[in-house]
Amino acid sequence: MRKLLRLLLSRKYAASALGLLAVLMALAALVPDAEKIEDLGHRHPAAARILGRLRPAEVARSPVVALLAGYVAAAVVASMATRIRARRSAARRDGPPPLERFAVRRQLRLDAPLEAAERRVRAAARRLGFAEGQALSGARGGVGFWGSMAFHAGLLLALAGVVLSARYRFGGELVLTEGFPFQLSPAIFLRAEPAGALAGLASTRLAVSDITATYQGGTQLTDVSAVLTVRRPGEPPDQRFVSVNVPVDVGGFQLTVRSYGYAPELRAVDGAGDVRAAGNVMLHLLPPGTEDAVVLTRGGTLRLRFFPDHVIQDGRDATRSMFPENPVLAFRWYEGGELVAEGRVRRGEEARVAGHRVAFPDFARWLDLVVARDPGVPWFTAGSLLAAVGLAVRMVFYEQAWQARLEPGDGATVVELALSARYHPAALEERAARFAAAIEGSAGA
Amino acid sequence: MTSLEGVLLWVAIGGYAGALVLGLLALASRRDRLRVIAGTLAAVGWAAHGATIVVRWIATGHAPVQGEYENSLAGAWFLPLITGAIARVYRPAARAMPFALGAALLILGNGVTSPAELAPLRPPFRSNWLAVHVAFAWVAFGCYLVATGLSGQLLWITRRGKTPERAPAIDEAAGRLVGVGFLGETVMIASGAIWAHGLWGRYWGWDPVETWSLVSWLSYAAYLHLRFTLGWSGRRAAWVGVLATAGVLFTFFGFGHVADVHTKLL
Repeated sequence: MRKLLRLLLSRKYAASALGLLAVLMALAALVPDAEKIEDLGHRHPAAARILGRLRPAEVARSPVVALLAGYVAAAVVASMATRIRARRSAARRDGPPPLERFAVRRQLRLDAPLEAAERRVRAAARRLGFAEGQALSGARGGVGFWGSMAFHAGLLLALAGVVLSARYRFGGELVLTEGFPFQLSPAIFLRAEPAGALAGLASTRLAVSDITATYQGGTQLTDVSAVLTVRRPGEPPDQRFVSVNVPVDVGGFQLTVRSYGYAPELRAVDGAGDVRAAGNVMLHLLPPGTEDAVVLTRGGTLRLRFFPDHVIQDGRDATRSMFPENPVLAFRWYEGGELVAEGRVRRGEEARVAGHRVAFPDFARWLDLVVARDPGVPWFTAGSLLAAVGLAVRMVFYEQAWQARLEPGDGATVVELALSARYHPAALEERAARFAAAIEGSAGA
Repeated sequence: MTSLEGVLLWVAIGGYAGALVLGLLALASRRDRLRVIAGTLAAVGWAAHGATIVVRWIATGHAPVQGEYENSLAGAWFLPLITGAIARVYRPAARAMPFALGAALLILGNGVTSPAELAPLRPPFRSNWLAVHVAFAWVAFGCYLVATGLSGQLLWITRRGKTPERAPAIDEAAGRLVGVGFLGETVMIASGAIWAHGLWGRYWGWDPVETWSLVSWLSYAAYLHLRFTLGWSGRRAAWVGVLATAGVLFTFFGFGHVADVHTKLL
């Protein structure tokens, strides 16, 4: 037990653990991102598998990092307990506060009798913000100790939040199209981990409307917002405004706007009169002119380009702005890898090319929502704030102590002054000089 | 970039460059007159730099926080300010001013070569947390960089085993700046995490900038423990301080396009 405590209280080991964590995460940060690893996987699957396990998120979950973080947390707890106990026992001790780690001594000669000299020393100490004791001594900056405690307690809280998040966080992604309400279930999520966490929302229906994207100058996106209608059994429909940075809470789950795009209503009929696509297709929000693809029934692909405000510029399709003033779909129809029809179709019209028909009656918009529930967030937030405040207090205040001894002489008094501080010895000389100057200058005090 | 902004920016760059050259000459020749002129030029450059930021702010309608040009413009402004502030407490720290000016010029150079068109804030940046996150990031970055300059200077002046009279003050100034920078970085990470939760539904995503900021935070946490609990100082602490800067440089510049990597959305 004593050995364990010694291990936990070793400052050398604690600093080494922090350094080791930094090195491990730095090495993990050098690993290529997921896309590059996926590319590599086509050529060297084994290398890609190894690199995948060395990415920061994976390394952070590894037993080595968990062990190091656990050790640091335990060391923080042990250190806090020891320091608080030592401080309480020091407070119970009688006598002047002991001098701190670094001390500077000054000798002054005051042309004043002993009592007047003592008054001057005390007045100078008060002026410099020292709490006075009965003896000719004092201390200040004790609040810095509690700042340090608050900082470390904050870190422990934040770490508890991280553990809770890792264990119980739910994260999912949901794409909703205007005019298509959904009953929430794991099946309609693009991803939902863990799917069982959605049980609380099982009978909730969600619909999205009024998806609005604002652009400055017609092309620079400034905001995306929408109205979510939440229907829960036995409750009236609840309409909620959601936009980027303004999430909504639905049954304890946070819904955040991730992206949006267009969902043109499309009807594609081939030369034989068979309907190969019918309904709203979701296109990515890509720079105008970039192609997206829709897979047709019985094979074949329809490659689409959506121009919200279509114009012909220099003989080519283009868009004036991102506002849907004149929506046009340009399409290329492929069968078995061969181009069989190509054309463009305006909203509300149908295009016929080489016997193929593509109709574009109207369009809607879709909204990509991140759905999350994370019980670790309040802990992490409270811990972070406590740590930041504690650190600020610790930076501003730190332990300092002074002692003075007076020796009466011929109509004068010799003052032996000692000023000490726990940290920052180089600044101590200057502060001692200030203290001495304050004593010498406080003749009338 | 507006024309007034361009003029002010070049006045700032000229002021810094002149102050850097004269400051180095003053250090070499120990001539007080040169030092005074260098100080005046640095002050003029810094004022013009501040005015550039204000003009940019008014022109775009938002704080200069978006893209490499704006981040360079605002981030570099803190370097002479932080050096001046620490020199008021520790006079020998004023010798880091040429380093701060040189670093400010490099950062501004990086900004000037990046696109500087006026653009509205992109949706992810429309948050009250932005100001807290970015302001503290600049403070942290500035403090760490100036502390690195001071550590480098300490390593230089003590390279032959001698300890000049000014060395302890320079050493201590570096340590205190790391302390303030660490506070800034803590607030930066915490505010960024809270903001990210409202924006992406998660407060940590292990993107490269997040990972490097954690690396940098852990490195400086180790540095502060070595200095304040184990009593490391002088050359040992200075070497750790210089090495820890690597994480900071990766966090802010390692990826070239911080805003694009870090705030990809929509």
